[in-house]
Parts: sequence; structure tokens; C-alpha cells
Amino acid sequence: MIDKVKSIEKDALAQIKAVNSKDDILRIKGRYIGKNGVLTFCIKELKNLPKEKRGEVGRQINVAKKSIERELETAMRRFFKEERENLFKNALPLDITLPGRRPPLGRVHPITQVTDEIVDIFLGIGFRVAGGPEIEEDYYNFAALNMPKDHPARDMQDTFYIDTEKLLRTHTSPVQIRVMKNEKPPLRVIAPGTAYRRDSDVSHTPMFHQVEGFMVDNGVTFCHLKGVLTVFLHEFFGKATSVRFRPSFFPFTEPSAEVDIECVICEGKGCRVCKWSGWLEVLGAGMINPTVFDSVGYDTERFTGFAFGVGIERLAMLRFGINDIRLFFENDIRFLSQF
Amino acid sequence: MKVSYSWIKDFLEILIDPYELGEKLTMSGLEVEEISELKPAFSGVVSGQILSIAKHPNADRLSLCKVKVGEKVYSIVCGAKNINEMDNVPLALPGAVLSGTKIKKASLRGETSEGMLCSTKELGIGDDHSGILILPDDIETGLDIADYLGLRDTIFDIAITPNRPDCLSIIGVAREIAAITNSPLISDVYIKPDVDDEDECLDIDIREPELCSRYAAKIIEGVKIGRSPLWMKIRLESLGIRSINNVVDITNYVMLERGQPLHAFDYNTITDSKIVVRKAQRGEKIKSLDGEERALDSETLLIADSRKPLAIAGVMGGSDSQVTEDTKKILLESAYFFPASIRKTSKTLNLSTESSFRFERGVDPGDNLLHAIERAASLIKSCAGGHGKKTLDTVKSHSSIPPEIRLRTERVKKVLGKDIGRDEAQVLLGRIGMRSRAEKQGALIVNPPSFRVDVRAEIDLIEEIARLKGYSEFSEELPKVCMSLVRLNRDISIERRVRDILRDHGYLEVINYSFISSKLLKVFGLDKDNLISIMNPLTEEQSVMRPSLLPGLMANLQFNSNHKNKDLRIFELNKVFYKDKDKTIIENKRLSALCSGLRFNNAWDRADEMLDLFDLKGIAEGIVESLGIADISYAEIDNPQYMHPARSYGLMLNGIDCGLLGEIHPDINHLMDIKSPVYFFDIDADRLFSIKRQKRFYEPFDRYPFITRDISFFVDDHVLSGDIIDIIKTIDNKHIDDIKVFDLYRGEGIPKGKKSLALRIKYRSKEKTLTEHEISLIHDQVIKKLTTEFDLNVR
Repeated sequence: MIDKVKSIEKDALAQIKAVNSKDDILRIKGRYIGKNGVLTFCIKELKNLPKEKRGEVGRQINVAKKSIERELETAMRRFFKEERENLFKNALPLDITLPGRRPPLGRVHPITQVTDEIVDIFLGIGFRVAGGPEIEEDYYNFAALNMPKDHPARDMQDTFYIDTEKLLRTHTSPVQIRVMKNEKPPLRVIAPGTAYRRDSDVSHTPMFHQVEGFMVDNGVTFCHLKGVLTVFLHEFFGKATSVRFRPSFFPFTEPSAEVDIECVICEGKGCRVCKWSGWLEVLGAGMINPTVFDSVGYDTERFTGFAFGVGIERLAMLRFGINDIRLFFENDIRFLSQF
Repeated sequence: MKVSYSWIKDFLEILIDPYELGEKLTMSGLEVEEISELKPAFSGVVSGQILSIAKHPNADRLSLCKVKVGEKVYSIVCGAKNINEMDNVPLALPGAVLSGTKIKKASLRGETSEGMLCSTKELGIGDDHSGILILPDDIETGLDIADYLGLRDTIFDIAITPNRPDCLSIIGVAREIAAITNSPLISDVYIKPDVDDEDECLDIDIREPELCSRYAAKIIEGVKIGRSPLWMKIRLESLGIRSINNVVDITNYVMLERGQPLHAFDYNTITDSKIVVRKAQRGEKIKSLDGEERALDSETLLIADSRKPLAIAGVMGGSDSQVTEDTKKILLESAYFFPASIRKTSKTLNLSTESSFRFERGVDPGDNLLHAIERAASLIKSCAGGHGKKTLDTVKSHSSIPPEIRLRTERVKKVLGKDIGRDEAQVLLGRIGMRSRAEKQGALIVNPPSFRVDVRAEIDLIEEIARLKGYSEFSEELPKVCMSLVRLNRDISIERRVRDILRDHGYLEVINYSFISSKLLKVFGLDKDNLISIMNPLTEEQSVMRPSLLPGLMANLQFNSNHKNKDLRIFELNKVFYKDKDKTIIENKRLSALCSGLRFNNAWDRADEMLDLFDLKGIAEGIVESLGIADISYAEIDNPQYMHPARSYGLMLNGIDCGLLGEIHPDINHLMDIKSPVYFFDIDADRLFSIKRQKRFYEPFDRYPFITRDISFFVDDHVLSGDIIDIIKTIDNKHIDDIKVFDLYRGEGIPKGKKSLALRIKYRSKEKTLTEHEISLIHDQVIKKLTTEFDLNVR
């Protein structure tokens, strides 16, 4: 019986060696170790053997079965591999340079991007965000900011009127008044928003965006104004950017300053953008005028504060190298999709 | 304001070059916007003296002159008749350039001419070419004429801020330069009246002391109106003032120099020798110098005589009382008018002049007006002859003169953050003419000069100290503060999230003007009576506040289509404006998006797939879901005129009406020449952001497997798949886990008015694995229910 098993194994292995196809393998598998295979038959025969022989023969059958299975597996694998290789060899070529499938890439408007960035910087040094209406009352936009009726400073801000009392806010500064009327110091607030002036040319659009900011507390000084705005400008334009403060005038701040940065286009050497001065004006600021504190009922002896206004279009133009402010509101997708 | 460098040098020695000076001015608050060089239109012209004039032997009209320049004598042929021996004249020597032409030694009718005598026209400084320019007798020969006439100059264009009217003059700027360079003014800024002046009988009646606190007048007799001297004309023109006649030019010249507007009346037009400063009567009219007949309101301040108005005070003179060629006797006016009154008049009449500009900002209310009138009188005497009477100075009040101010050094420190001692403050303020004395308590009592009308409070002095010290002298410090919680506002963080979602789905954010054309609104049927109009729009296109973002977005679509970009996905998140029923102004933030055209812009196998409403619906639902709002439904709405009547739906979030979704009316496409259908949603962002968000809690996964069964049927076209799904859910919500539409078909093989719908129902229990049998029981119920509820045939 052992010899028979051995010869079955030998036959089987020889046949496996000679297979030509997967079907051959399956056939051989059936013939030897399938349900009606010859080796399976041997297992069934075991019970006819004397008890003392069964153990040895059984082991021999097992050895044979394992070896056949192993060889079958090996052969099978070889065929799979060949088949795969053929498949890959004959696969249709793929043009990987064809574009991927996706909707066109959207963009957030550059004005929004720059606003978000400014807000985040000030948030990072403890300022919170406030807002106010765009159709504003004369009082908040002018009178409470030390610009009574018939004040020549109103000429600096040509105004769109809705009626005799209501107007389109000419700056985001009225938010200052609205916040201060409702809250007591300490205050650290920024107010991004839309403003309007009756002005339209290459460098002015009748609608534009500003971020107003202010800080009021006991002990806020002009040195703090310089410190906070320098931190902001260094963060926005880079640490190496030179910043200068020069005297100016706004009715609602005193002393007032205009803040210049070294021209980002020519690095201070002088070019068309900075009008050959090497400097670019980027924001206006100052110590809040005591008259303004009076109009919101703050103790002017106790509290001091600074305020500033940043033109967002201006910063966006410098950031992205945009030379015509009107592009922002034309909404040409060739423009919008660049940012 | 334009300022001449050479003119400033009349009052101040300047040791630095104009560019360095410009930088210093800018850093002290007088922002120099532009520095330009004035250059003469010629070169190589010098002064010469005519020694002799002889007739040209071969030409009647020409003469032969010998002209001396230094030691040399030149022979010049000249055709002008106005020259005499010993006259000083401009001589262009060979090599000189006159209006682009080079002068050479030449032979004229046989006589050599070694140059050319010049008229003002040839020098480019006038239009008189009939005669040679005769120079004063007392000048040397050989002077460069360009230098002599002041034709080489540097002009500063300075942005004077509204608080500094004292700098609206040459002397004002000179004073400022003196302060910042710490160098003294050359003294003779103040002019004493001529002692020979006689009294004159003139009656000045200021009836509005609130509007005119001081009025000085001077009569000058025997003037001869004519041309201004060349140097004056050149200076005026270099600052952009046109020369008119000697007297008028002198009033302008003195105004530019001293900041005090002056006016000259023809004395003979003044009835009864009386000047009345009064308000206009209603209906009163005056013809102003520019020839306009102007109707005046009762707020307008007038200079009048006993009968009629002579001038609009501080703004413009009347043409009937103006100085003409025949004028022999003039009345010079130098007054202080209150700024607000002049500003109001100038605005009402829409008439702004050099004079009104200065008065409305505030001229020096002190004695400068006397210095100005005497300066003008002395110039008139030398340029137009005549003799002056004593100035009549009527003072009603000194209320505009800056008050005495107490300055505390501790306050300086509190505002500026830097210790500036009393002595230093005194020195700094002294440089700008502020006299001060120290108080025992440590404060300074400061008297600003009368021209600093802006300095009225302690803070104004602190500003001056900071400015004169130089802003760069203050260090940059970060404030020490009490910590407090700062987070980005909920609305803003939601806005950012919404923008990011739209961006990630291919949408470009646009920002349109808040004002819009009323014509465009009409296209959309939005021209209702709740609109907010602008009283003074720049154009019709920007005359009404937008009540909706849609017209702007459609205009963007049209604009881009015209530039061959027809496939568009855009959105805007911004305010709209309208009046509610009680006429209250409403500002409402909206989120609107639209899409039109191809679904993919870079597809190679699905190149003609068009966007449809479900692309946009998916975005809207994605946004809403990401904000934690689960309940979205669509309602029939009162269709706005601009929406497609059969394809427009109200958007309900948690049962609250939040906007709409649908297709734009094809009529609007047609009107705006847009070819593809446009899909649009508009959401009330204020409302959307305020809707309560669902809190998210973890839910364990289902433990037991699910089994799906498909079901397909024909159903009437009007039946909504959502309704079918809702009904199925009610059958057994414990075991029906989910229902999806996986096919929708209309067309061939489907009866007319029907559609084929295929649903996949997912069965699952939370307690156990459902058996086939259990599922079949439920599924049969589903089929039965659908058959009875909707007239349909399950296939």
C-alpha cells in the first residue's frame, strides 16, 4: 500500500511538472486529491487495512497529499503570474497627461482673503471683531467723530447721502462710536467693513473696504500705537519691512499719523508705484481725540486710546501686485481665478 | 497747494536742497506730494545795455545797436521801435536757444548781427512781441536773464491738512520751515502803514458781527490800472494764478504770500461811501465776477453799500464793482469772515475760490489782515501809483483768536508715553511762535499765535510737541494688558466656512458694488417702492442700493460671457438694502450663488455635460448640512418675477423660510443675452447663521447586517420622489433604514405623463439579523402601500 501511495505521488508530481494550462492543474487536482481522486480513494481504503498498518500508511498518504498540493499551488501560481504579465503586457496604454476630473477650482475674493488675514493678525494680539451698519447716521459717521456740520474736514470724505440724516458711511470709524457708546474700557476692537466715498478714478472706487481698529484703556500711549501697528505691518509685509510714522490730520485723532512702509515694489529705491519716494502710505492712525471720548461719555482724564484705519484694497494691491483698483469690482473671472 | 521755493527764500535762509527740505516737510506733517522744477523756455540770454542806436543803411525798419555786456560790445540788428539808448535789455548771444531755435551770428541786409534782443514772447513769458523787454535801469549787464526773472524755481505741491490754514501761504510754509530747521525768519514779515496816509471819510457797518468779526478797508486814489510787473506775473503764474491787471494781481500776490484774501472794489461804484456787511435778503441777486447771475439765500453774507450788494463776502466779488481799466480810485478790503458761514455759502452756490478756500478753513483773525492790506497798498503804490488813505479797521470781537492754554507735563506723558520736560516743551513750542510761561505747579501756560486757529486745547499742544519732537523719537512699545478671552465671532467663522465650501466646489467669490442701476432692477422686476435711493449718485448705474444680489451676479455672468467665459460658478456673500413696511432701513446679509454652462471645464470624456439645478442644490444642501442643520425642505412659493415659473422653490430650513432655489426666468436670459440656463440660490444669511445648530453626538455603528431590496415602477410625472420616500418610511421605521432613488427614466418605453423610478430600500434591525422572510413581509407592505397611495405599477 505504501508503495502504491508513493507511486501515485510520483505520477502526480510528474504530471504536475508537465502541465500546460490552469485547466490541466485543475484536472490533475481532481484526479488525485479531488472527491473521487485516487489518493482520496486510498484514504477511504485505509479502514480496510489492519489496524497496526493504518498509522504508517495514513502518514504516507498525508505526506503525498501535502506534496501534491504544494506542487499544484506552485504551478498554479506560476500560471497566474504568467497570465498577469500577459495582461499587463497587453494592457491599453493610459494617457496620464489627460486632466483629472474635478470642478474648476474656486477662489475667495482677494479682498476677503486680505480682510481675513488682517483680522487674524489682530485677533492674535487680543483684538475682537465688531461691526456696524453701512447706511449710517450723520451723527456716528461725522458729528460724534469731531466733524460737525460745515467742518472743512468733511471735504476729505465726499459723501453719498440717502437723506439729510442718513448716508453711506465714508469709513468704518463710526463702529468706534457704536462700540464705545455701549461698552466701557478696556477695549481692543477691530471693525472690518465696506465704506463709500463719492470718488471714482484709477485709484479710487466709490465703494471700498477698510479695517478700523482701536484700543482704549487707562495708560494707552502713542508709543503703544506705534508698537501695535508695527507688529501688524511686520506680520503682514514681513519683518524686514521698514515702517515710518509721520504727522497728519484726522479730526477724530490727535496726534494723528500716516504710516508708510518701505515700497515693496522697489524696496525703497524709488519707482512709479511709490511716486519715486521709496515709501508707500498704508494706513492712518492716531490717539483718539478727547472730543470723541466726550461724545461717548468717557472720562478723558482717565482714558486714552489709539485708533487706526487700514485700506484693504491698498494692501491687497500691494500683496498681489494689482495696479488698477477697479479690477476688484469688475469680477472678471480671469482676475478672480488668480488668487 | 503749490509753493515756490524761491519765494520762500524771500523770508528765510534755507541751507538744504529742495529735496531734503521736501522730506523734512513731509515728516513734519506738511506732506509734499510732488516737487517739480520750473525751467525757462530759453537759455543763454543775458542782460545788456544799449549804448547806441543807428539806422540800418539798407533797411528802413531795422536799426543797428551797440550793446554792452560787461567789457564787450556787440553789434546787433534789431527791428523793434521801443528801444532807447541806455536801456537795459535781454540779449540772446550766439549759442543761445530761444523756443528751440539756436541763435547764430548772422548777416541781415549786409550788416552783421552778433545776437538778438528779445521780447517777452520770445522768452516764453508773455505774448507781447511788438517790443523788446525793457529791464530796470539799475541792473548790471551780463546777468543770466532766467535767474534774474526768477524763471528757475522749484515748486512744491503740498497737501495741507484742513487743520492747518495757517500754512496756506508762502509765509506760513516759511514759518513752518523755520520751526523744523530751527532757523529764524528774515524779519520784515510785518508791514507798518505809510505815515503819510490821510484820513478818509468811509462808513463801515458790520451788521453781522457773528459772521464777520473784523473788517479793514483802505482807499487808494489815483491808481493807474495796467500790466503787472514781470516778476510778479512770473511768480503768480508759477503757482497757477493767471495775471489780470496790476491791482487784482497784487491782491492775489498778497493772498499767496500772507494767506489773507483781499478784494479790491472800484470805489466809484460804491454808493454813499458806505460798506455794509449784512446777510442777503431773500430773492436778492448779484452778478459775480465770473459773469454768473447768482440768486442768494438769506444765509449768504454780503458786502454791500447803502443800496446794492457789491460782493459775496469771502467768496467772490461782484462784476459791477470790479476794478476795470478805467478805475482810478479803489477800496481794498481785508476782513475776517467766519469759516462755517463761508463754507455754507460756497457749498450752496457750488462756487469754490482761492479766497473761500482760505476763509472756510480759517484765516489769521489777528493783525495779519492789517499787514496784508498795508503790503498790498505799498505794492500798489510802486506798481500802479496812487496814494493811500489811512486804513479803517473795524473790530467786533477777538473770539476767533486762540485762547491761553494750560499744558501739564504729566498729561504729555500720559498721551505720548514719553517724558518730555517742561523746559523742552517750552523750547519746542517756542519754535512755532507759542509764547509760554511756567506755572508754579509745573504746568505751562501757553499763548498760541493768532494764526494757529487750530490750537485751542491741551491736546493740540501735545500734538505739536510730538510733531516737533519727531514721531521717530517715540519708541515702539506693546501695551501691557489684562488677559481676556478673544474668539472669532460666530457669524464670521460661519461665513468663512461657507466661503471655503463654495470655493472647494469650484465657486468664485465676487464683490459687486452695493449700488446698482435702477434700469437693471427693472429687468428683474425689482423696481419696487421699498428701494433705497442715493440722493447724489455718481451715475445712474450706481443710484439705488441693491435689494438683491442677483442683478449683480447676472451682470457678472453677462460681462464674463461677453469675454468668452460662459461657464461660470460664482457667489457673493454680502448685504442687500431695502425699506420694510414701516420705512425702516433694513440691511440684510445674503448668500447667493449662480451657475451656468458646462459642468467640467477640462473634461475629455464628458465634455458636453451641462450643469443643472441639482448641481447647485447639492452645494446648497452641503452648506446647510455642514452648519449642522438637518431639516431641509422645499416649498411652493410666490414666484418672484425673475424666477422660472415651473422651476423655483422656497428653501425651508428647520421649517423656516430661508430663501429660494431654482432656475432664472428665460426672459431674463434673453434680455441679458445669456444662452445657457442659469441656476441660482439665494439664502438669507442672517437667518441661516442664527438657526440653531444640531449638537453632534457619537452614535454606535449598527451591529447587524442590512439587506437591500430594489423596487421600480412607473408613476405619474407629478409625483415627487421625496413624497414616495416619506410614505415608505412611515410603514416601518424600525426596520427601514434608508431609501435611495437610483434611477429615473423618462422616454422610450415609458407611457406619456409617467416616469420610471427605481428605489433601493435598505432593511435593517437594531436588535437582530433580519431573515429573508421578515424582510419580505415588510417589502410586500411597501409595495401594497405604494400601489394604493400612488396610482403606480410596480414592475
